[in-house]
Amino acid sequence: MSIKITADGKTIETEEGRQLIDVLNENGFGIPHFCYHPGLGPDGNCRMCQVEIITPRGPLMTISCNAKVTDGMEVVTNSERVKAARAAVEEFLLLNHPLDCPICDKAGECTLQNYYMDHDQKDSRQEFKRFKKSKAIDIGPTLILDQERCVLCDRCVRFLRDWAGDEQLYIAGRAHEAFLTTFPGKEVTSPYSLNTVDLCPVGALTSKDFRFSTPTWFLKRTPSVCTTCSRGCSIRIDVDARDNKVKRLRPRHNPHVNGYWMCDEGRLNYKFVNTDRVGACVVTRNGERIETSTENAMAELRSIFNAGADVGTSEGSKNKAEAAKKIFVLASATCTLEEMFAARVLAASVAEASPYVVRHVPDGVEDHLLRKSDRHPNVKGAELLGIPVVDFTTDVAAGGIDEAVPGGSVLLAVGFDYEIQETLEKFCKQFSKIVMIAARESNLTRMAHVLVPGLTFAEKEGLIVNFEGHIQKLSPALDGLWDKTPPWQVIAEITESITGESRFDGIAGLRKAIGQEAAFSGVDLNVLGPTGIRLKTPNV
Amino acid sequence: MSKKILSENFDNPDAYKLAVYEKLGGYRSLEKLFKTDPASVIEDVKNSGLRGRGGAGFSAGMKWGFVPKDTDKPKYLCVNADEGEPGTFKDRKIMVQDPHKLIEGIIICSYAVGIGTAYIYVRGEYVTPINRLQGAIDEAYASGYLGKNIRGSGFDLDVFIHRGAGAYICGEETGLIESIEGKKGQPRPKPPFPAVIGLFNCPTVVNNVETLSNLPFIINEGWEAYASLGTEKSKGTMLFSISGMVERPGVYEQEFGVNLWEFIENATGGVKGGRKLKGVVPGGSSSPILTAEEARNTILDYESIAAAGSMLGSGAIMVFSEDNCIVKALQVISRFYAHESCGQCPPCREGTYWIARVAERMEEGEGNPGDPDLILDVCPHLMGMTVCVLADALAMPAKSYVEKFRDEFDQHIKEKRCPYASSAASSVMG
Ligand SMILES: Cc1cc2nc3c(=O)[nH]c(=O)nc-3n(C[C@H](O)[C@H](O)[C@H](O)COP(=O)(O)O)c2cc1C
Ligand code: SF4
Ligand code: SF4
Ligand code: FES
Repeated sequence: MSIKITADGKTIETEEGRQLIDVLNENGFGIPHFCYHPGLGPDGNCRMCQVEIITPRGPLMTISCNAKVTDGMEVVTNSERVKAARAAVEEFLLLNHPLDCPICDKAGECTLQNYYMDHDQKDSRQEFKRFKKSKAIDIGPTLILDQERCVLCDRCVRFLRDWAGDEQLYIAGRAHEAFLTTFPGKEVTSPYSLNTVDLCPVGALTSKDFRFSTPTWFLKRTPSVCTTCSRGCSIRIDVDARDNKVKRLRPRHNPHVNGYWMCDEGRLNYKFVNTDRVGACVVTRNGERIETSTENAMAELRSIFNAGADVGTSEGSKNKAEAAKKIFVLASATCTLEEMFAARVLAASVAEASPYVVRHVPDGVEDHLLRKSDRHPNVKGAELLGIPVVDFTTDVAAGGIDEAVPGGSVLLAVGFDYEIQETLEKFCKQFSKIVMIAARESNLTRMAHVLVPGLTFAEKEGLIVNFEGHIQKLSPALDGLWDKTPPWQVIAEITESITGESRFDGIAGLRKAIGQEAAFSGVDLNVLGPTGIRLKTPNV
Repeated sequence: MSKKILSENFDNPDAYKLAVYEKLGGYRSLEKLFKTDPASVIEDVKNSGLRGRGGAGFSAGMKWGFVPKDTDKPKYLCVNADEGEPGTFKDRKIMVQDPHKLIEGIIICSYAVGIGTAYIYVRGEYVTPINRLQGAIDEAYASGYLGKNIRGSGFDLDVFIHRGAGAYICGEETGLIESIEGKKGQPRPKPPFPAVIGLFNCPTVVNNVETLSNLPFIINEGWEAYASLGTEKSKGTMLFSISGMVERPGVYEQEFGVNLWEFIENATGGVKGGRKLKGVVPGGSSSPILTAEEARNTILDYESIAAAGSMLGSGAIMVFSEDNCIVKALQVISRFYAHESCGQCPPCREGTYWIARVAERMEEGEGNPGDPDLILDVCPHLMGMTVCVLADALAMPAKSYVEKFRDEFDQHIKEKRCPYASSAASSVMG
């Protein structure tokens, strides 16, 4: 039911039964809080979120995280009493805090630090020795704990218990001696452990992976999507502005896909971006790999696809057509919708055939929270485009492709950025020539006759569709290093060089063309919004 | 002499035995009870004016009324026998001398509210009370006062003892509930209140031992008889645990409405050794101190003591003589609260520890001239700021000690020592 409340005299329209703190914060009141988190609900321990609610008996100080809005509720968030309460909580929390901000990874994005500036700004009145607890404790494969920095908000404990389903942290002891710890002899091993680092309002829980890597104020944050599994959690890619390297992935709130969380595997799956990159076009001559310019590589491609063509004679055109028909297109199921669609257009207009989308990353663990066993982000996208999906993760011969490959065929392989398994390698070996667009070197790129650099998820723009039919957009977080032609455009240029027709007007035009497909009807793929769009009929 | 409701059997050393208790008129309320509609039992208890004796003084009947009627969840009674408030030892007396009276009260409350299971949460150190209580429960089961179809009424009730493990905070009703659930005793934020979501997330009544022990009288004699005792808003009698510098410390029952100091003097024989009275803590260590003057001019009931700036709390009266050091008293209670804070709320966790450290240095002769004001400045930030009132329970008395006995604090700081240090009885509280 729609109701009205007033806060500091301002009228707010909202829904009955919502948490007061959420309503206030959505309306710009910036209510400070440590223990509340919209994904965890109220716990009421930190006392930072207090506001005054006007009652018939006068103003009542209350925690806004544990209060529900009711019609006509009158709230004061800026009285002297409220300000004094916030300053007091901040002072109490800092009394025995170690103040090691200069060496703390959280500095710059620390709630305690920020609130000091907002609500306290007084000199410390602590005249006693600060109470000592333990520091830099190794509590598992992913986490380091500093008990002195902990404000005992219980968020990490509640996340592991209520969401991850692994109660691996708890607050032991009481009073000022209370401390966060693991159970005796146990470690934090949850596959979601690193969410506790995001949740921790201070630098008590830090990520072994990110620790001491980048002061947070050097991070440039780009909204994007995790491509590790078919869930496609919304993320932010944090790039160090100093060296233009990805330093951290963190979940981005998306109520339709991942809520507030992501798994550790996806979060840590960014290092490949910086390793084994295909840095330039390569052509192989007499078994020797030679780096070359994009123009030369494209010329080489044309000569491969137009083999036997003698332009100007009818025999030549016929040969050309025959040669083109021998192009066989495989796209990885990690490719974007744009790459897959461009591959489909190429295969259809040149070879009068369909490409195949390939699952080639072995299945992973699936669980109750987010992780899907399918480690490809865009199988659903392929299905929606009507492209057959073949599975090279098992030992089924030829991934189940029953169509015989005519002798002398040329393979165009797009998006195979990791080492490939034996069945796929064997399948690829039957082609007379292999042409590849790949971001990283692998056993497959080493077989390629022409290799054009591709882009990883951190560098390219593109759409992916998760297993539920939710479309989201990848955004390039890294700039400058790989100013290469995006893979979809390379494919489009190959098509154009053979057919002589230019098809798409930039990526927007390409998306418009995809939008003509029945599966995407009614969706403007050029305006998705930060949390993406759910297809109404995702099963075509 | 005051009317005796709770202590009527204290003089009979065998009253804890079922046969003796029955002979003294015990369990006779049940016959009347089972003929009365549960809703009108709640009405009667409301009308009697009975208030909780655990500390907050909330109307027992009203609390029962908050329990939802149309619920398919089981309902629970938690009997608060944690008796953790320093200075309080009256629930112990009931459990040792008259345990069946408590069980009878438990049956009455459970019947009225529709409760099938009651847990008695007893302070772990209370070995004798636990043994007595368990003996009484066993006898009650054997005689059909507990268990299935109690005395042919069709009403079932099970009663279990749950031993605490020595944490003051487990006396706070939601800390108590968490503890029975097997969790760390940490108070829950309210709302929801236990009456709606309590033990095992089911509707739960939490009442103090003494509160429940009044019920047999109310059923037997009628709510009017109870309401005729005491003052306008403070009905009936209360058990007072009197300790400190008096001739005869002990548990004394008193009807509300008499003069506070006269009651103490008559009951205990006055200040020990005829020394001068310095002050009176009327309601346990959590209550602000009254000066001798205030104690002499205050009526013993909830409202008058509140008007005098303190509270009746658990009825634990502590008497300070001229030989007692108030700074030492602050050191002792602040150390207690700083140790017993569950540690959830920053104002409590950090504030009690801070006050304890400042109090200690004043008592040790190392205080700074600004220390009394520092305490006065910090205390308000512990009041009304936290999940439970443990933080208030230090801040309120601490503030009163400094405000009412400022000279003593200043003297400690100026002389850099405790002027009472040589006195054997320098502290009432330990
Ligand atoms: C820190 C703290 C400790 C408490 N300890 C006790 C206790 O030991 N015994 C008790 O009966 N009530 C205690 N209480 C009060 C209970 O929370 C609760 O109000 C009481 O058990 C309700 O029963 P009543 O209404 O019969 O008094 C305590 C409260 C607080 C805040
Ligand atoms: S480690 Fe962080 S999240 Fe966990 S209780 Fe401490 S401050 Fe809160
Ligand atoms: S006020 Fe103190 S004892 Fe009560 S919940 Fe908060 S920290 Fe725990
Ligand atoms: S955010 Fe409300 S008490 Fe912590």
